[in-house]
Amino acid sequence: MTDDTGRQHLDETEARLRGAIATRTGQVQPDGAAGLRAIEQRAHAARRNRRLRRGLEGALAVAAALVLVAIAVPALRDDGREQVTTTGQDASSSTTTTTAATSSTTVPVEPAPPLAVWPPPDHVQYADPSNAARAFVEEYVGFPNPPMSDFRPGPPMSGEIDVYLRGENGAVLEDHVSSTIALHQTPAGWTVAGARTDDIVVDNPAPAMVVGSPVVFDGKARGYEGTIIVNVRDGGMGAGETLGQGIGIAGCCDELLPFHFEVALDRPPSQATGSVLLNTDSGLDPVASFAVVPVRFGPTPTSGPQVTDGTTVNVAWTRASGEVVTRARTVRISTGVLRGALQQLLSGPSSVERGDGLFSALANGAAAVPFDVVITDGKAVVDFGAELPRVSPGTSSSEASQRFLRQLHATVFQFPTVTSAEYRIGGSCNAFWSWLQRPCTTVDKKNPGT
Amino acid sequence: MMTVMEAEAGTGGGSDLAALHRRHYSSLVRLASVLVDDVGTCEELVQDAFVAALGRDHPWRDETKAPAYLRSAVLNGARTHLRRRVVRQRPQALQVAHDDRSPEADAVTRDEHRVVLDALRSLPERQREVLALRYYLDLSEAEIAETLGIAAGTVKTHAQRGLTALHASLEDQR
Repeated sequence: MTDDTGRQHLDETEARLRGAIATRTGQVQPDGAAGLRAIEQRAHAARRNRRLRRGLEGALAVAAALVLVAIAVPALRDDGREQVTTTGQDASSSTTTTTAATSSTTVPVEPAPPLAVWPPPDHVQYADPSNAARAFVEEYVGFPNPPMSDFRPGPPMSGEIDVYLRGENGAVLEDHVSSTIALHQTPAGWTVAGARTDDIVVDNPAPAMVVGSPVVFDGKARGYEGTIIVNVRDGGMGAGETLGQGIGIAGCCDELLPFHFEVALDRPPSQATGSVLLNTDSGLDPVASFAVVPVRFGPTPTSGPQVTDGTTVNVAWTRASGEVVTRARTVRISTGVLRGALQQLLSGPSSVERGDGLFSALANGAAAVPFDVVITDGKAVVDFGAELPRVSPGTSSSEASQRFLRQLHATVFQFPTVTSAEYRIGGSCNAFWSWLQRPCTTVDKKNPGT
Repeated sequence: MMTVMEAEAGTGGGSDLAALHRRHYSSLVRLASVLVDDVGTCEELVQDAFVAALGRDHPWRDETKAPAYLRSAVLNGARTHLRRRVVRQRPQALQVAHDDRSPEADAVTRDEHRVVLDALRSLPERQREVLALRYYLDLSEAEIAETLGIAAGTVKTHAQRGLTALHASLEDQR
């Protein structure tokens, strides 16, 4: 090929490329107003999170100072008249009351040590909190060579260490804290008492809570593709080991969205204590956000409702016979009861329910499908994400589609305020019904049909 | 030569978020759409870039530096997204304008453009980014170099190699 010929070919390629780019970009019509609103909302949320973090750090510093003052005061004025009574058993701080003195004061007593997540007793123990934190991230969480802050002393015999994110080039991003590790000093060495992250707020289980199978998780989170991965671990278990694993769906972007799900244990724990690890690890980032909560294992699930603003809704499953069966689930009122019920429907039956012969006409992958719900004048418009047919192709078959519709109707129409429903996929009624091989229609509660 | 960004900017003044958004948002979404198929993702990438810029002590209000920063942030986001290879399909029908051409002619044109775009997207990262910046935004080598943080000479090399590879890829498909 001569230079001229080569140049000509490249000119042709250049022209084709210009044409393709012009056509492609000419077809894209961004919604500028919605984009600006999204930017403002997300920037506001980011500022709020930064303020919250600064506030928490300030509160921790104030609490540490108060504790030091409280220790110093009685030491300086020890007059031998104080009788100390302790209230609280598991509280991290307790009160003491002076009975002989004319005034009363509050002084600390030895708090109950927090449950240790790491290291296990038969593991190497650490005299340096940074080494304990590093070993924890590498051996328990499973992230190699984590970038970390210096140890920040807190109240006596405790402190924190931040874990940073890395940039694409591997550089440490010191203004991006993925998680913060809480450490506690014991006579044997420094132990990890847990970890928190702004990306996953765990309401349930609370630290040291007694849990059984299934373990109920509640909170708010945001993760890559809205996915939160959970592992329940026996005491002493490290990365790659689990008593039970589950995947929860929460927010995908800046906004923390509620999650509620259960993880059935594959086998009973062998230790009295253990931990739960929740992370946003997509398997693609060197370090993801993680939260770790120590728990105690009990023979049964903790008694009483574990969701503080929860209410009970029904979710419909089917039996092999085609019978539709509803099972109660607890969802957050703040989430919206219909939204909560539909999220449970997409997530599928629990292992216990599956053991009872119940199943869903939707495939497991439906749990990750986003959806939207709007109720206006008694009409519920349920709009599923466009990927639903792709992740649950079998639902379109004649029998499965009937089962799915019965499940959907039973779940949607359980609420008295919903009298009709329009189902959509990607905003299209036709897309939903053509997936199920039926014409678009609005479903009447009195005669929903399948 | 007036770039697409400059053309969008018009004569409007101001350097606050709304003004910058008005000047650059649409062109950045379209720039991302050259590299990433899903338009919703493109919008999110651009929003990420704006939010990141707002959250930092960045020369955000310097109109001479903001466009390069935003372009760079969008390309970084697109690169990360493509590396993850996890694309959540979104309904694009609502975001794509329609015209009055016959379905057959439209299909043929779409196929041709789709083939070229697919070939572009299969190029190495730097090559496809250089070509997108050159042939969509009409940026100079110096502007591309500033956006990508590389030398102007490297831009020229990537552009030449990218076009050659693109030509070879398209020839293979004939």
